[in-house]
Amino acid sequence: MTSPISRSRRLVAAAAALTATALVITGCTSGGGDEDAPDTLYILSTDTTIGWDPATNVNFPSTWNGLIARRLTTWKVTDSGVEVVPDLATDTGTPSDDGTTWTYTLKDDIFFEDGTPITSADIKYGIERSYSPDLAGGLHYHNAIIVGGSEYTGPFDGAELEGIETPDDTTIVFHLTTAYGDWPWIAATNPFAPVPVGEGTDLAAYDEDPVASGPYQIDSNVAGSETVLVRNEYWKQETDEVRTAQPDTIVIRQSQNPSTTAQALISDTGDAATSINAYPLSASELALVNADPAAQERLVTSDGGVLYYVALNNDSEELSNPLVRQAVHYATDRNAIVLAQGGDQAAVAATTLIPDGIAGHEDFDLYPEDVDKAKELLAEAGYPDGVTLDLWVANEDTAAAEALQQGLARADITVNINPLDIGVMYGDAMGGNPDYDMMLTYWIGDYPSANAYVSLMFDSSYIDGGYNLSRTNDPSVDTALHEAIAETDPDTAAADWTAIDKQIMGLGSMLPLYLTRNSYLAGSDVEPFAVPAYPPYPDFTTLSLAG
Amino acid sequence: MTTTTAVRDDLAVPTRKTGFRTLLGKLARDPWAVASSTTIVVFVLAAVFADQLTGITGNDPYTYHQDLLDAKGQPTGWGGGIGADHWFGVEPLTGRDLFAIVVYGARTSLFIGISATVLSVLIGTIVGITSGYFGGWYDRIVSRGVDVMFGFPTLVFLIALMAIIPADVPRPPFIALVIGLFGWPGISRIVRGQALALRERNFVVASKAMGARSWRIVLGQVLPNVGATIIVVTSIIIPGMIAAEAALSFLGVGVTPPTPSWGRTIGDAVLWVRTSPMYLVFPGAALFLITLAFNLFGDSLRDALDPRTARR
Repeated sequence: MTSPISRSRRLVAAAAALTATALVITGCTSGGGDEDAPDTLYILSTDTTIGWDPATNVNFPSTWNGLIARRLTTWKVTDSGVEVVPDLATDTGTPSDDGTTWTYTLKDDIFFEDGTPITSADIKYGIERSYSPDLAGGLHYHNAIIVGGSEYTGPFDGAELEGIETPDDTTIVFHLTTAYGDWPWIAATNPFAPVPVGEGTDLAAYDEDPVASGPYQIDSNVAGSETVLVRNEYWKQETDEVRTAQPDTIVIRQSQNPSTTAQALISDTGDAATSINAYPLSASELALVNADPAAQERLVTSDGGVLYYVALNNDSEELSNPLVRQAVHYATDRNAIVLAQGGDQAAVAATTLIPDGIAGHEDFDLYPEDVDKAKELLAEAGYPDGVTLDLWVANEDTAAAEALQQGLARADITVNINPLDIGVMYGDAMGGNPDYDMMLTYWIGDYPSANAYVSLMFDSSYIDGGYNLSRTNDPSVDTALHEAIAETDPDTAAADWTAIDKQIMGLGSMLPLYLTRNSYLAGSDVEPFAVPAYPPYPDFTTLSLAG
Repeated sequence: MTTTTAVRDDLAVPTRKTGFRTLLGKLARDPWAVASSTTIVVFVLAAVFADQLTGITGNDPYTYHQDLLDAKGQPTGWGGGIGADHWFGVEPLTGRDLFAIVVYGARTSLFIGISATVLSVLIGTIVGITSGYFGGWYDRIVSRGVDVMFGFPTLVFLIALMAIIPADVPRPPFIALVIGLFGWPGISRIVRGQALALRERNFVVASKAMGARSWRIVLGQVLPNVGATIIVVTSIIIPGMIAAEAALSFLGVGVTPPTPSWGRTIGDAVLWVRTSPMYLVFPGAALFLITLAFNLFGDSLRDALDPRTARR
């Protein structure tokens, strides 16, 4: 699964610009009411919808859902990275000797927003809900790992998942089909948030207003416009070692035009002083900030972020030949691509699958830029006059595609760019119409483990319907992946993943381009914060306001 | 030969004194016509000789010149890097030559604008003239069809259509085709009105009485008499067609990168208006000038062809 990137398309931008103009013309000013709400944090998002159901929400525990939903374990984000820490449970899980059974004990004094205590049954029910076919599209790392999960179809018809035991109200035991070293991270994903047994049967209503277990609850929620979060008075600070929940109210403004957002944050007046952008600034918005020294001081930039890459379709006529894939690697002009994103401030070139900051990362480049070598390889492959390749790309990422195109053109590789709506693109690529040679898209692991970067993209069982967009079908890769996943010793696992990274890069099925560096601009009344390379988003659960 | 029709008096042009030489003379005396036709000619020449024109500085619209950018992708130098080699400066982030982009963009815009117009005029004339002249049930059906086309949310449909066409369909001809296919109802209505009036005129009735076939009357009597109107309408709808392509490209569903297109460049440049204003100014000015020129020329042409708007 990819995560919380969603930049507004130009259509939306145009509509918003028109609205903004209309507001100026009619003399309206936005906001107001600052005086009565000095403790309100505004999060400005380009999202046109935010779903809050933990079974379908794919965001990180440190962003939207982390504000209202606790889970067994959660993320503690620090300046240097993230660690998994206990949340509702007293520890991050106790594995059995063979690693297939994980036991958790719940803390005392943990309550839902209506004051009922949270029990192990509520957590079990929450996980069971995520198996319902009507709640597809969420984070499903656990689905096949829990015993009985492959056949289970959710709790709404009364069935229970056999792999989860709740011997008493505070104990929950998971029986897994295989040893799984990353399990504590899985227990931090959204489906491990509690749902009161029997609730959440009206899926649309629950997506708008779920029962909160975190420090905030939803007060009002107008889809696509504004979600207002207020304090959940039953949440107890002493039971929570991560969330600080300092602002009294958090308002999430949606469908915001990114350019307008940037300008408001630069001006730092009114509500903007207690606002923050939810999604990174683009190159043009960064240029605006760079032109304003006062704003520049408030800018926070991560060292790494989302991995942009090109999947080279192994089923394509030309790219099924490894020599052609290698030629594409050698001819890629990463400097041009990085500069086209806004230079060093906005991106870092990537030549490996596993990014810096994730265990298993090792810096190597199997295909240093060499245009002549690319031409030789093409000639050797039987294309002395070059090849023509179709590239699918989301509408908003064409700048990277054009920079890639001009680099490959140096080696007589002609690229036809086909900009698509991202939903259509993934629909076709995963839904049985993978008619592309190359596809430029992005990825960020749902938890900071090499596994989350590699297995979903290269296990042959994820071809068609999964994220194996390069359609890599290599039995030796599959075997290596399954061994690395089952490895519970972190050091051995890291070494395994490094080897897999090199093995897959050797196949040439995937062309890493760059890691984004995400920039956020907070208003001057938001306390300073840092954004690590992973997760490259502000930790919403610890943001606080000055004064 | 006085006109008594109530149909679009401003565009209805009775034929009188329409020799080509007379027309040219009238246009030459109209400063707006001279200015606008000069602008159009300059743009057309630039589009046709884009290769030679950009060859002077050795540029093309595809080559990256990232050495002309600072570490953050902003053009260095005055006005977005304007200089002897790059007359309009360079694009932020890529360093592509903006003059080449504008000149090749003229090629895209004019090709699509003019081909779509030709298609629209062709369809509009055929539909309008036949429905106006033949009338009856054919006219009733066709006119309802035209009403539907008028009420059709064309732009929304085009956006949806562009999102689903396969990658291997060449975009510029396809865009010209679809814009053209949706642009004809206005023309057809004007032409139909004219044809309706002409049908009752003595010389047409006389031809009919002498046994001329319908197609002969349509081609020989009716068409030449609506010709002037068609020419005026043509020059007036070209800018609309150019603007339609620019709108689609602005919204990201038009001409695909890297083929230069003013609309797409303007769409990108809007984001840079504060930091690299020239990036927006040049393609914006080009689009503004060409649409204005075609509009003014159309006006002048109508004045020149219509004896009732004689110069005072």
